[in-house]
Amino acid sequence: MAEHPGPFPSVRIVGIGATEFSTASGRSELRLAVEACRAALDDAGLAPSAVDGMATFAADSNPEIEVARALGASPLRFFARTQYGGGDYCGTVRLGAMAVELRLADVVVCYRAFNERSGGRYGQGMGGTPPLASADLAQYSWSIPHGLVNAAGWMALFGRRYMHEYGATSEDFGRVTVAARRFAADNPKARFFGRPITLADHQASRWIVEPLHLLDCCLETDGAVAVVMARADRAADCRQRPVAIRAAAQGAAANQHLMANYYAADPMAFEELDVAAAELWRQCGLGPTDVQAAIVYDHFTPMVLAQLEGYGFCGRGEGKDFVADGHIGPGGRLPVNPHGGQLGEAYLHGMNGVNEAVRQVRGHAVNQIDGIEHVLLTAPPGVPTSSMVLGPA
Amino acid sequence: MGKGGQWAGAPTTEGLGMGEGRRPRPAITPDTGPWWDGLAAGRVLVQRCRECDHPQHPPEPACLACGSLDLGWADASGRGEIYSFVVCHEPPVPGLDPPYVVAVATLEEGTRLIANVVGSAPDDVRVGAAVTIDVVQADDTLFLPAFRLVDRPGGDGQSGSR
Repeated sequence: MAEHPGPFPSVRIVGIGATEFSTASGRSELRLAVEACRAALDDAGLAPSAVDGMATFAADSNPEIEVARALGASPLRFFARTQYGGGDYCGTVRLGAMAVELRLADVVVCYRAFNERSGGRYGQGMGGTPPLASADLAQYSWSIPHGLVNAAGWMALFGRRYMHEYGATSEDFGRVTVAARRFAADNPKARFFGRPITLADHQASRWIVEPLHLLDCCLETDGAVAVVMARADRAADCRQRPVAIRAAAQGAAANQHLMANYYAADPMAFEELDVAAAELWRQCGLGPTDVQAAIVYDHFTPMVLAQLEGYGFCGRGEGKDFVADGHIGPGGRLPVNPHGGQLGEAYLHGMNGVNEAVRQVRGHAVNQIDGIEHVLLTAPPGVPTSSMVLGPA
Repeated sequence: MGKGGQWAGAPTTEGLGMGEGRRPRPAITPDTGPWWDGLAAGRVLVQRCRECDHPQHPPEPACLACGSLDLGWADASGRGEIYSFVVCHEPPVPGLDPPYVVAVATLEEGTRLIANVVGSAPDDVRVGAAVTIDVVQADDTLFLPAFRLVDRPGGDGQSGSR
């Protein structure tokens, strides 16, 4: 398949920004959002008044108008959200890119801000809220009364089945974290800066939901991340080297459920990944051999293996071997999450990975990978998923 | 298709890890209500299409096989096999006493169901193990399905089938 420009030929990522990543920000989620958006606009060399579009996650507590007002944005011509949390983080960026490409807005900021550590922690599980009779809440009813209340539990069920089908072990999962922590150790912004781990550390960490140890789980974090997009002509006047979105895909399976996605004939086939991967490669005419680094959604280690398989870096069930052979770490064939990922830098619904992908394409990442032409970004299966390919403009 | 009355006797609390407080409550809709009502009556139901007989779980507003809106209910056979399972240690969950086992089982009907494995030590649970399915009373108003291993070390191999 020949390489081609994809659906977003006019769009450029011109700015990235973030707050610090911490366990207790001491500030409102709204203020975090504003700080990250300002940082991203500063990075781009754009004034807040240039912004006339905003996109975020449905899960974000900060309405677009609240952020826009405090930011000093222009009257908004575009505002929209995507569902499904981190599964659709690339979809959120894609939503902004669509608005720019279609000239629905000139400058769009995408943001995600939360006090996920000091405030409401996903890891503490669902069940505190009174039930309402709507389908979006009813979907959790099949698991939470049994004490399967959070993503660690939902993903651990996939992890156990992965072990059963492919002979993987806890050590196979642990190698994902060891690689992430090695990268994070070099990243001053990472929560785990200067703190690499060994496989023995992983094995010795306490159980959260067997077969997942504590060190199979991402880092609940306070912080915010933002990304600014504009059209190519405007990007030429911006401060940073512009980055192109070569492709951006979403995917949901025909029989998709949220998180507790165990009802397809073969749940481990992860049809949602196949849908998104096929769409992604179709858009740009590229394939797994055309990317030099990847941002892989690492909320829980087994799901990293599934994404490596789903996007064609190895066969199904071979993700554990790909990782054991050292391909995802420093100097590997496909360095994954050179910022340390959500296991080592911060868990922010994947959006800090978008910042890292932009840095890699620009060429000024802390752990800069040589010879970057394209960076792949992927989101996990088990939820509606998304992916993206970034490259130089 | 199963017949009513397979769940003779009141739901039990045997083998349940009963921690402090009440478990997270299900959110019940008009589409799913009959399934929860079935549990309260001691029955594990599987939604069945009245047009094409397709079984499905979780309950849907329409048949996933033929699209019919004419859906009914049948008793599950009460037998299945563990597809996957986890042992939960954290976070604390009201009404549960860790470590406890949550499994996904494939039922004889071909549908899948999430429930606790009760009456066995976590270390005895295996993917592929045969289970029977009971109704248990988790607290004052909450009835849930629960799995029991057919072959339990030190067990009689029959427990939970009635």
